[in-house]
Amino acid sequence: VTAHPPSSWLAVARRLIAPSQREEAEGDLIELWARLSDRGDRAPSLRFWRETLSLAIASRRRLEEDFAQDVRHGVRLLRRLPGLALAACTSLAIGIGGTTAAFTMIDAALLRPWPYPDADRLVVLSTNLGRYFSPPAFRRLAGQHDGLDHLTATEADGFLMNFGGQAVLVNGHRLSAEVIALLGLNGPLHPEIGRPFNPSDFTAASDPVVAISDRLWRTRYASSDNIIGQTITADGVPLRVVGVLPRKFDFFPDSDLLVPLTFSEPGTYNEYARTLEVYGSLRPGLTPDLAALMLSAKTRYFAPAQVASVEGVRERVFRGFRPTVKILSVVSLIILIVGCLNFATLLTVRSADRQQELAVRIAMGAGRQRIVRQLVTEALVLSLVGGAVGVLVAYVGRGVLAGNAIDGMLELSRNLEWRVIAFATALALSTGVLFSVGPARRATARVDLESALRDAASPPLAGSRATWLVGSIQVAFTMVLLVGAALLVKSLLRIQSFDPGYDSSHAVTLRLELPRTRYRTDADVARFVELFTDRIRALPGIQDAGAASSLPFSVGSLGMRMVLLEGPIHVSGPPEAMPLGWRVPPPPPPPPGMSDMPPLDFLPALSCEVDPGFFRTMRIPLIKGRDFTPFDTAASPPVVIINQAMAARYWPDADPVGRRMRLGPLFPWKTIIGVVGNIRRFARDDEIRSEYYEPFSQAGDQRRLFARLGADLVRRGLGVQAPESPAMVVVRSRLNARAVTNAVAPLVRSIDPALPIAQVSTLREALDNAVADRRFILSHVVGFAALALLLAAVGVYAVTSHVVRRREHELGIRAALGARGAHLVWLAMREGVVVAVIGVFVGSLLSITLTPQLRGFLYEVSPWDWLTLSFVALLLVPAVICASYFPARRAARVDPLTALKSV
Amino acid sequence: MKRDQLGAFEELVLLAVHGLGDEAYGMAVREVLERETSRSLSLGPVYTALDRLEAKELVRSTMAAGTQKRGGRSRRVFTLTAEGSRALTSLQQIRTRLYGRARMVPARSRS
Repeated sequence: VTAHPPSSWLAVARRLIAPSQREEAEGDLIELWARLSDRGDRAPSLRFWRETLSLAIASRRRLEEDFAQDVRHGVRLLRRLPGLALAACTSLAIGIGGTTAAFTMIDAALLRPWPYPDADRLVVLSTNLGRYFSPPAFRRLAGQHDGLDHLTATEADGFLMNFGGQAVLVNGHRLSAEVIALLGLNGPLHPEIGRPFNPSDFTAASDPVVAISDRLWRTRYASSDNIIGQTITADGVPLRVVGVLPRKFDFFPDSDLLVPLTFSEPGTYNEYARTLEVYGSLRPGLTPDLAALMLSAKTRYFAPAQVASVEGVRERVFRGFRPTVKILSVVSLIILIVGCLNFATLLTVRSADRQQELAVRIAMGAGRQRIVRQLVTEALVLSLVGGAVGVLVAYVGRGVLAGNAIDGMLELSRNLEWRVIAFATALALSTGVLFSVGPARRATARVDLESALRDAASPPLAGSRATWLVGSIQVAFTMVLLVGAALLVKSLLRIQSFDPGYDSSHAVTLRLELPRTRYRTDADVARFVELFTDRIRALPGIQDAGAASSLPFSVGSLGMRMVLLEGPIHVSGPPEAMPLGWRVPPPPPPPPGMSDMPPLDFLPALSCEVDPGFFRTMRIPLIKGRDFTPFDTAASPPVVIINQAMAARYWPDADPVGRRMRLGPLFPWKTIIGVVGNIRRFARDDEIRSEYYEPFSQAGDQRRLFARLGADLVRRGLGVQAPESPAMVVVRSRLNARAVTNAVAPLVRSIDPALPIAQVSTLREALDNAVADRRFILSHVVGFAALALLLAAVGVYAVTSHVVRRREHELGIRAALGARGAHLVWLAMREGVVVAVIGVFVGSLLSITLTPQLRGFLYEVSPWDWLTLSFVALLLVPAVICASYFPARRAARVDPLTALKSV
Repeated sequence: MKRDQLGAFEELVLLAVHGLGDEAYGMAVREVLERETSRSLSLGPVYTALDRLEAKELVRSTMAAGTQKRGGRSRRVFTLTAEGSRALTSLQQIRTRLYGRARMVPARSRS
């Protein structure tokens, strides 16, 4: 009996060596042991392990060389470009491209780290009255913030600046001192040049200073280093530039000036001037909800503003487009699934077509493992090429994405990041392995050497039940995408044909911010508006012009006021719906000395200031009564015009014209002189609310009255913010926006040289922006649905044509026995039809479960719109049947002789 | 694949395979080389060289039944291909020609 190494050693050695060389190596080790013991070697174990190690290393090296060879083989196959490989590659490219594009957005929104210290702990506070704090409320809070560090107040503001004789409105923020620590201004976000703010910059006595954005520095100051220490004038105040913020600072995305916020004159602020947004850094171990709980308890008696909620800043940023991202993820996941299934199907067909080649190789002594490895490597090559193309697609598509994305959503993702590339590579590799090991194993397991070598009829491998099942799943998912796309198209068509209540065509809008310092009273504002619109109307090519404090679907100052209506009213319908995020303002307290007055029935209504040309220019129909005229001035009796909704709500059976309303017991009555048509203000699918309009010239009575009634009432006020004076001017003209601006800008300068035009747009653009997210989702879902349809069709086509090839022999016999062509075609495409029917059935069920996700994006269309569902089914079934019919047609042309001879 | 390049070790392995005839498998090749070069040699490099030779189509391998000495494990037996013997012949001719030109001087002993 020859000596034998310990079997446990052999077992360990086996594990170290690649499977294909195990047996041989084991034999060598046993032989080695025998020779060593024959020779009487003193340290056989040492020699044993040294040899094991060297064999293990060699076997790994051999694996590597095999791998390189497989890769070369895969590339060669790819270069010959058999249609199947190309199709497989394309399927994967589409799947990976779509998913990568979606990931780009998720990455931008969720995964990319923010540059601020403890970015995940940054929170924003809000009160029971809304998002904004008044200075006194902030100061009370700052006195005892529990759970939060670096409590910072910020106030967005527009600053009037002058560049080369041109007045420009620059956006900026005022910030309280804690911002330095909160956003790391002297740490990670230290200014590019200059210095960060000092705590001393925030004292009232210090020189006013400013930090400017990188953008402003580049566009307006030519990136000059000399800017530091210079004085720039904003809103008429000289500010010394201390620093230029780094480019990555985008905490306030549109802000170009950061100015210290000082609370030097307590008397100048009141409870109701709520303009401050308050940020803080959550202490470790606290959740936002917990902090909100603590703070709301602490501030319970800080009426009227009690802290109501604490929300992560990132969460808030993301919340806006969470529905969009969610739908995009689902859609791209579906396209990935369909693409991968297609990839797997095509690989199966391909390896089935190569069964003979594989059989030959196995007969020649190639191990099954080796063949599987080769198939998988080839699949990896295909999937990596597919992935690369996919990334390329995503890279090109990124521009398209960014082009019609929702504002602010893709701002962060102009470049493909390494994270995205890594994601796509991981995706490609895992799909390559995941979806090729199965087909490869099946292909080698089933190789029937003898029949494969004779090329005799073997059962069509790719026509197995599993392949058809995969086909059905693809059709089902395609159906989901098609249904989603159809629902969205239907919604958008409905939206496009909707009537906002005014004529949005050929109307350019200009936003002017009249500085409060120079336009102190409503008379000043009214005078400017009248002068300006008169001069615009006199220009050639201009049909009409009007102005309002707020335009639909754009920013402006639109107030929700509590009003008292005179005389008997009959309220019909449910209570007024507040616009999103608004709350019913509290009714004003009774005036001093009248506390025993019975509670008054205040009613909410939107209020907007307009000029006499507004309704005419907007083409809002006057239903009853008269329009405003230039004779409705501050000196004439106060008048208002209400909308149809308000008339129907409070005077359903009576004529509101001639009735009166006022803002409170001590305010003058205003007479209703007319009723105009309803317009949509916020969203196309929003409710119509009660609304009243008053002339610019009469709108400031509140201010005058407050002044007369005394400071106390002003402070306790009416829950209205300090009146601003934005003027939105509508110009109706067939000229384009640029031409209108060029014509109008000199007029502004001739009236007030220091007044900038803050924004130019059109009514149509504002309206379109309101459906931007819908359009964005729509273009994606439609595009992906079309791709999915294509992929599913290619899959069914490939499998059917494979089946026809495999069954040629059988079909030939049938033909020889007299089967008709049509019958043969039917035999070949039977499974395709079954796939179509099953797929559509399962797809309908899937759609019914998944489409409610789309609800937020649908408009007057039910997510379970059976008409859409049947329409899609009627489109999909024939499409899939066609995909199997075309290859099946070949079955009819089978020549019985050739088929029989091939036996 | 660069078929024309043959490393020095590969050449020795090829020669050993040639010399062993029908009995050229990994262990046997190693034994021959260890004996002839009087140097200790591990199996790993031998297999690496054999695989490379096979990839260059200078040898081909077939699986042979295992012997009792190997615990019944099968082994891979290598034989020279026509290409392989051509390569050996041409190498030998090159060597001969080159040695013929060189004036053989006895190397100084290293003490």
